[in-house]
Amino acid sequence: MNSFLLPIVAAGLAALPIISIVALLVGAGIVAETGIELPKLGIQNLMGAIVLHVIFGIVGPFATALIVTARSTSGLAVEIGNMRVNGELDTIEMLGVNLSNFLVTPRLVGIVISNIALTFYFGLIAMAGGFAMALMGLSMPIATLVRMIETSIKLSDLVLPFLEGLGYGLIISSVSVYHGLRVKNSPVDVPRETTLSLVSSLSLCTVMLSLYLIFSSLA
Amino acid sequence: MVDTLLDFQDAVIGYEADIPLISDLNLRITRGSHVVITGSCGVGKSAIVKTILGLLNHWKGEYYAFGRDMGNPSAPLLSYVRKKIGILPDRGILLQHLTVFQNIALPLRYGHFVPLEKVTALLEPFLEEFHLEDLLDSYPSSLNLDQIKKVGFVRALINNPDLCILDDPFEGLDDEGIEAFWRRLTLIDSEKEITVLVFTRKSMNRKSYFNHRYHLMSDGLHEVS
Repeated sequence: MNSFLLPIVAAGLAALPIISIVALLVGAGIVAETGIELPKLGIQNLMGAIVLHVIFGIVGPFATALIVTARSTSGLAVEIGNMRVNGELDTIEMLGVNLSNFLVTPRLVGIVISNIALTFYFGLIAMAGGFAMALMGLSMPIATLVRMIETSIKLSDLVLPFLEGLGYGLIISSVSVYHGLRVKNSPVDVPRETTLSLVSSLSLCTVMLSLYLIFSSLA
Repeated sequence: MVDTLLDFQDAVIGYEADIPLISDLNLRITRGSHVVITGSCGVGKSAIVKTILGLLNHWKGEYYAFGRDMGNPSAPLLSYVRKKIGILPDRGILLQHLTVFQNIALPLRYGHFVPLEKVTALLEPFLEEFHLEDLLDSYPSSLNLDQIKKVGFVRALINNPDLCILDDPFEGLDDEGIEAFWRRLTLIDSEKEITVLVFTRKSMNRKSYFNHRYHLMSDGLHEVS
């Protein structure tokens, strides 16, 4: 992997501890909710499909995007903004180095790769949290839950989180880079653009989630 | 081979069109010449540097770099011109997230796409001369201004550019650093390969080195005899 890309991916993967905690709790919560409510409606046989869809298709990608936004958007906007203020961006260009190839593209690709990987990681840990809840909270045999999931899993359960992770990653990275590059030569621009990048990234991720939910329910 | 590297004709220079810093710039830099431009703070020295390298527009007049018209330059033309110029910016300016070696290698690796082994070989003659042997793995935050300027100077020269632009090179250098800079500039003079354009706030004590000396004021350049 490109030596300039590696630290960015590594920085994304440094989010593993917080992702693990959130995913465990979310997974446990979803299984608890479905395990209690679905039998009341008589549709407990759909539990596997619903848990998979909610964790891998909706909550997992979005929660991952929120955590990556909180960690990476501000960091990236501040990094690029400070480079502008310190004259580093001008220097890169004056040295005949393509700013896009050297600075922007590795950061876009790094965040997108990290976000996709973290989305799948979130899903797996959330499933582990769900199993723990099924075993300890609902006294449901793990084999039962595994069988439910095994019979309901489809290729789209893996393709969807990949596409969502890609989409959220592109939003987060491009918004961060855009606001970082908008900094002029004043240090006071940096916190303003950082805040704007966070707000824009969260808003656009929410819009993407809403659009996904609307169109997937229509399909 | 083009003999006139830079040619400004009645150019208006500034950060904004309606606030010109220099209203009438006429300057011709020919191959092999050594030119110094002095001027006080804020008079527009760095603006000229940025205009030469295409970061700022010239608002009126003509500007040719290496025989190419720089009025509304395309990205390939900017890249062509920038790769022919070695630049030591004001304050040196190194990238904070790169080591000294990565900073020096930056224009070669990502501008000229030179392999790493060749970069190491090209750097070798500069290491002892500028006392950089022990600094290659250091980050800029651990360097003083003298060391930053030396690294920036080596970065400007390492790809053997046609034109070397030094923006306030001696500011922040200690005596040994100034001596090292002059040794290298004198070597350039004897080899006649690199044209040197120096911008400085202070008057130079080695006036004989330069073929042309100018003083920059808001109405343009005035040749100093």
